[in-house]
Amino acid sequence: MALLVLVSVLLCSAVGTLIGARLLDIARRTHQLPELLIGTAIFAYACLALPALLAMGLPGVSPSAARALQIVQQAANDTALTALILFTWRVFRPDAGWARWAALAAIALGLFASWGSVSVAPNAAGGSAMPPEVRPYVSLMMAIWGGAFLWTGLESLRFHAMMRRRLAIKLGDPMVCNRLLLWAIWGLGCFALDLVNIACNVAGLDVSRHPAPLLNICVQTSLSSAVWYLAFFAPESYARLVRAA
Amino acid sequence: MASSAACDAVQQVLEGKAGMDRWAAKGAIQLALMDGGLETGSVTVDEMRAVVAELLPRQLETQKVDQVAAVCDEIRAALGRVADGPVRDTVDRVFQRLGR
Repeated sequence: MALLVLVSVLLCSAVGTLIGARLLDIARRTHQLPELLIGTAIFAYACLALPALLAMGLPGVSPSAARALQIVQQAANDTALTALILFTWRVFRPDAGWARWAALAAIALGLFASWGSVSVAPNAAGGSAMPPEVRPYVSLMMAIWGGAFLWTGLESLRFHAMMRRRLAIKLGDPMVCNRLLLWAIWGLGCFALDLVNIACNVAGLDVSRHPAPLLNICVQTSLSSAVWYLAFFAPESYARLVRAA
Repeated sequence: MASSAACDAVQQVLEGKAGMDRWAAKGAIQLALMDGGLETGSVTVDEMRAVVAELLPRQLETQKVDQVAAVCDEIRAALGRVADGPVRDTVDRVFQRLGR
């Protein structure tokens, strides 16, 4: 199981770093905010948060190194979450007042959860990777991630339905329609898997060691790798398949 | 959200030439755009031409508009005289750029 988790997380980290860098390069060329936000979200998560999380669990890591890795992981994780929320708001609901306030509230809660995890962890008793004092903050962070996944997934699904209607009157690009579907699958899939993680955390399972959440992490990272690759770096054979369908 | 220039042009024709009142015209356009997966605030002239070709005639027929074909010809002529306003960064444009 540990090897499976290691392979899927490393694969997700490599694919996400590549795709995130590619999206940031698009942002550099277009000077547009959406590509900067989505690029930042994927790059920060895949290039910093995931490797730091993996390194924290390695045997022989000193407490000071683990502490530094935890701070890096929390900062990157929160950056990725903030960027994903801002992306969803700016792209799908730029004019909605409720969306602005929901985004700001979620970002503030995310900062609070990150601060809580980092500030409580060094004081926690015992050598557990997930001390009980940290669990409420971890659950809160997972819930905010879940909300962000659900929001972006539902919005994307709604626009995918609209794009299908456009294609029926010979408007729009099938690749864009498919990209929206993939983003929806990613958002809703990660939301469902996030619910499992929250349940494991609430049940007191060590999310970094118990087989059930570890398997969940494998599925989540594998799903992310596949969707990011097909949505933002689609090979020509896949593009031909989509256009022909 | 304000409607686009293309949307306003179609509405003017429906009110002036088809004898529809403001709300009936708005409703017919809105329903046709919804069928096409488009929005009043961001629909472009080219997109509206496709809606006029494929979807609007059916909406006008259900509203008992006379001489639908002639009204649609008037709309096409009106669309030829308007230009799109400043381009909004819509969802499809963003997701188009993300695949470059």
